[in-house]
Amino acid sequence: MDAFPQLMAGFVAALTPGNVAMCFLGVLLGQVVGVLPGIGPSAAIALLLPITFGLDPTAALILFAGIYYGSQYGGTLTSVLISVPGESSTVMTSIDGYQMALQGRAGAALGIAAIGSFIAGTLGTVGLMLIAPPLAKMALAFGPPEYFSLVVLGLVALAAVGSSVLKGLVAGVAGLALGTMGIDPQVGTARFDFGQVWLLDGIEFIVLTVALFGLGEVLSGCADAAARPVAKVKDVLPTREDWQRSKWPIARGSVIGFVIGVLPATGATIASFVAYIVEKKLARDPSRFGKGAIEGVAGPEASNNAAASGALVPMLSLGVPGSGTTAVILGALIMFGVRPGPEMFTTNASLVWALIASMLIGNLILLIMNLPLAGLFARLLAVPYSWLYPPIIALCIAGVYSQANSIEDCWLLVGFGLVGWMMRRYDWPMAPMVLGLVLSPLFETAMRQSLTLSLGDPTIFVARPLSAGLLACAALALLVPLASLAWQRRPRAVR
Amino acid sequence: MTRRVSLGDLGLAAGFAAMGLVWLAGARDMPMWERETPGPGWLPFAFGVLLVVLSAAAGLQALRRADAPTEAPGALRKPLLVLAATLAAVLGLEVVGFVAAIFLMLLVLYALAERKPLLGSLLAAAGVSAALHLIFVTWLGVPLPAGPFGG
Repeated sequence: MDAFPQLMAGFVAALTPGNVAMCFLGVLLGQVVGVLPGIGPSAAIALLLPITFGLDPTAALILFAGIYYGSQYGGTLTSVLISVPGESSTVMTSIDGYQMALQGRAGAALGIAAIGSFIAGTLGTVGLMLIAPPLAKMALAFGPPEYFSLVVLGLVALAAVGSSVLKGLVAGVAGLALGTMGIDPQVGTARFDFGQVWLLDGIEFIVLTVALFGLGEVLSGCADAAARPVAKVKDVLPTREDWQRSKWPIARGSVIGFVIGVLPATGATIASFVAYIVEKKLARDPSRFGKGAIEGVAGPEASNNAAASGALVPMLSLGVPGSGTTAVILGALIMFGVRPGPEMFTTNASLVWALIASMLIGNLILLIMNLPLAGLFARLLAVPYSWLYPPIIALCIAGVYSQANSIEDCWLLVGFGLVGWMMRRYDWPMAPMVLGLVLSPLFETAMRQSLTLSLGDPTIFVARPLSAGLLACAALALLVPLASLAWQRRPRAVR
Repeated sequence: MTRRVSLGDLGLAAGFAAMGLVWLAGARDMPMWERETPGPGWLPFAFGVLLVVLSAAAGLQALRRADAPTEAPGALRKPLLVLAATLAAVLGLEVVGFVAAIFLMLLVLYALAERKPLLGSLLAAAGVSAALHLIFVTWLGVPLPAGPFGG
């Protein structure tokens, strides 16, 4: 096994002062955006993109990944202290975590969440280290048909996990369609430029991402911008009994979270939900759940952090994101000239291993930051959102303008910001739209190359076993939620 | 109990369907198939068809469900005010320059939309616009629009 020497090389790269600083900055920012309402990790990464243009890709990736897994820690604070999950993946934590806070045990809930997250994050990173390279090696056999099917799987899976499969699919296809704007990559025909020279370059990923996740989120959240009362944090170190109750939920949550995180597009939210249900089922006294059971905090918290590491497996090894935020990181990598996918472990091995090493370092920083400083971060919750969102809009405008010095991009920001607000307000998922835009060129090139190979015969996509398998997985990802919906509705139809 | 159709869902479905129609119309002017390979118009055409069909289905779903919650009166006022302030700032970028446009937008948002005290609003607006100028223009060397005041 050659993972160990590569990990050591990764540590050498990650432990340079600049990269340690990026790791610290990333997890700190992640923690802060996890705590602050109205701005998630996707928006934070999107807003930082223009500022990181000149950075080395390794440093940028360490920063973005730090924001991603750091936000999982931050989201816990809001769930426990004010019963408002900062991230959707901490919804389950709020059930028992907030009850613990009401009983004066907010510190214990945050302490066990931090320790559980550290253990799960570390185990998840080890899992990433062991699984991603062989998966990437296998995927090196991919040709254009397999890439086409992989993009179909990624988009369908991401669309299928939202509140409505149909809305997710519409958003995904809209993103793919937006990706066809500009000069056609194969024959150079101008498409959908509407007579505007500036549209010949197409729509930039950063413009759409900042508009949807930045401005759209602000417009959606500004109507409810008041501060909420915050519970006090003390005694963050768990007692012996807390630890006895939590150690197995943390272990189980780590495994459940990682496995679910690896599956395309399932992500941390579903992982934390499953972990909570498992703990409740296994508990000797399930009636304690919902009334401040520490297992109800430990399991889901471990699970959502392990899932964050797991979601990086398909992104790094296949180039298919496992969640909305990894979709944004994927787009950022492409912007930096790094093509995520099977070749990444050979052509950019030092970058990948530096990232993995930095995740181990970042989890340790987060543990240190969260045990003694939980009370300090809790004070951020007292800052009303009404003071925060105007600077976020200003940053959106500056960031979008600066990426191409283009006023037209700022018009697009306002237009797509309005679309993002509507989508958020009416529960239309935005991540498939961003992913569609990012993957559209790969999708089109792979499809056209495949059909050239097969002399126009579309059966090439099902004739090759790997491609057929990926398409079958996409069909399953689409049919399982639809079948479960039909099953849920069945009794009503009988009546 | 009256059943309410979500106008937002219908509007979004109609918007995406309209986008699909634009893609369908645009794709018809491009070569669809060149020898054995799809031409530049084929995939946009396929996306257009998919968008129209899926959006129509989403619209029908919204009509059939009709379980939209009642909107609180005035719920849209603040987001629309924020959107208008953002639009005005973008309009003003090349007229008065980045710093002045952003300063005015922040002042409007703090003082009018959020009804913060005037002094606090002035200080916050000035601080944020100066910080952004420092980060983007001074540190990153981005030529943000200067305007007549040179800022």
